[in-house]
Amino acid sequence: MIVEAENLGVSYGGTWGIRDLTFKAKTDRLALIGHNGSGKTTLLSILSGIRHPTIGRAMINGREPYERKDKWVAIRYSFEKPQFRIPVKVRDLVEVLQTNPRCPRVDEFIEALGIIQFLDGRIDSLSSGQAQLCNLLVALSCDSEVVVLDEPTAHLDSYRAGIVDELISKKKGVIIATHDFEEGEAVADYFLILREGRLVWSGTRRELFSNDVYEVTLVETGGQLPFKTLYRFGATLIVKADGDELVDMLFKGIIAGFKRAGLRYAYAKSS
Amino acid sequence: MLTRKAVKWHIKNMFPHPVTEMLLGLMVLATWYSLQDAKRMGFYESEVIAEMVFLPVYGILVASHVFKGQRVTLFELTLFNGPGGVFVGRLVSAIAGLLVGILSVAITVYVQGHPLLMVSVLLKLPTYLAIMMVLMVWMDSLGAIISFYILTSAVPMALFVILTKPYPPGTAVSLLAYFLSPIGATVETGKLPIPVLDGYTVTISLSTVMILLSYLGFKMKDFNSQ
Repeated sequence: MIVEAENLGVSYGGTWGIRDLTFKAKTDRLALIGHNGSGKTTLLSILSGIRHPTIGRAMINGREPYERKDKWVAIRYSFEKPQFRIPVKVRDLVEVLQTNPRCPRVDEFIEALGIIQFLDGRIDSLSSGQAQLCNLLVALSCDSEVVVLDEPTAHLDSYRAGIVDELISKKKGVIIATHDFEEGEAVADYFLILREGRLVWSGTRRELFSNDVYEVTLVETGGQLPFKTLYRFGATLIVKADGDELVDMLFKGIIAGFKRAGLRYAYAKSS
Repeated sequence: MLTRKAVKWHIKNMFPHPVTEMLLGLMVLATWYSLQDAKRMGFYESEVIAEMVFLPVYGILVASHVFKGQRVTLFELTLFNGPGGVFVGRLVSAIAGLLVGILSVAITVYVQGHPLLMVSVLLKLPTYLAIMMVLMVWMDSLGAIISFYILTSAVPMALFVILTKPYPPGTAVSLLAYFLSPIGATVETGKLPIPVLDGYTVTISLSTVMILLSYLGFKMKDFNSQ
């Protein structure tokens, strides 16, 4: 999948949701990272074809998604706030999907997502997590060129979130927006970091993890390390350090764990 | 097959619904008794009851199954592979819902011996459908419901005041009356510069064009999922 944008901008009555976005990403799974209001959902709405940009253009595999006549089947979209006032049962939703020839993996995903446990619930009375699973079922179980997922695990417990991330990480042609760094790192292989509607960092996994900076979790919350601390987030520190020394500290019980700094560092650095 | 599922999806829970059924019963009874007084009082009473009170409220009950938020619409567009199935599902469910109420009133009017008035009641079907589909495409659900009520109740009420004046209204108002207040226009047809058959033809044509335009609008609509 090649996702690109040229001078892309979306204005909401004079306020820019995203502005001057230019990038080109060749990837199987693209993650948009950013805080609330950073423009992730706006960019997703352009990439999923549900709205036109105010200026510039976006393309997926050389085609502008919002101009595609087949966009509703070529691009499947699951949005973040899944509260639906639809007075039908989950079973009815599943029946509709089973009759849709473009959705061959419905039964497999009902099982995998745990939807089988609340088939007789009405969609308008589901919890936000259950509604999100139904939303994901529609997006994931049908054939498409691209799947666009806005905060797919935002309403799920960590167990279900893990299952969903595992399913997503096996798919190709995925565009996901998340403010969860761990989720982004777990599923994507190309990253765009947005801040106030502008692109502040973009790169591959290799670019993200290729440095001597580590993310370290301390055993004691107020502890210190003999390295240069670049950023501190409670008991999690971003430090410039030597890997061998960190291994040593791990075995001595000073730190609970460490990994190469990824999205958390890229995000903090770009602020 | 998927379109049939879309129709079924939208009709679910529309019938039987206690409020719809109660309103249906009240509407038929009110029409029946108001028409019994027609010889003494003219058709004004039944016009007010059917056109300005019961049919608009009944229309809103049906419309509540068609007017949906953007997120629900987006969900349904993904589910039914695009706007075709969703639009047809909503249109057919609206026809089914409206037909039950409008046909009940129309039959009541016919049984009371007023065939022309029955035709004007039946005209409510295309006009309500046209208004409903246009509002469904271009307004959010609350705005659409308020606008639907204004267009189907408040505007006919204003037209009623105009039509009951001794002087004849102009062509534009007459056409508007045939479209938004066909019962009133039929009752007052003698005062209007447009013959009843022409008025009905314009009403059906305009409704058809509006429904087609709303389909095109639905296909081209931009959405906001936030």
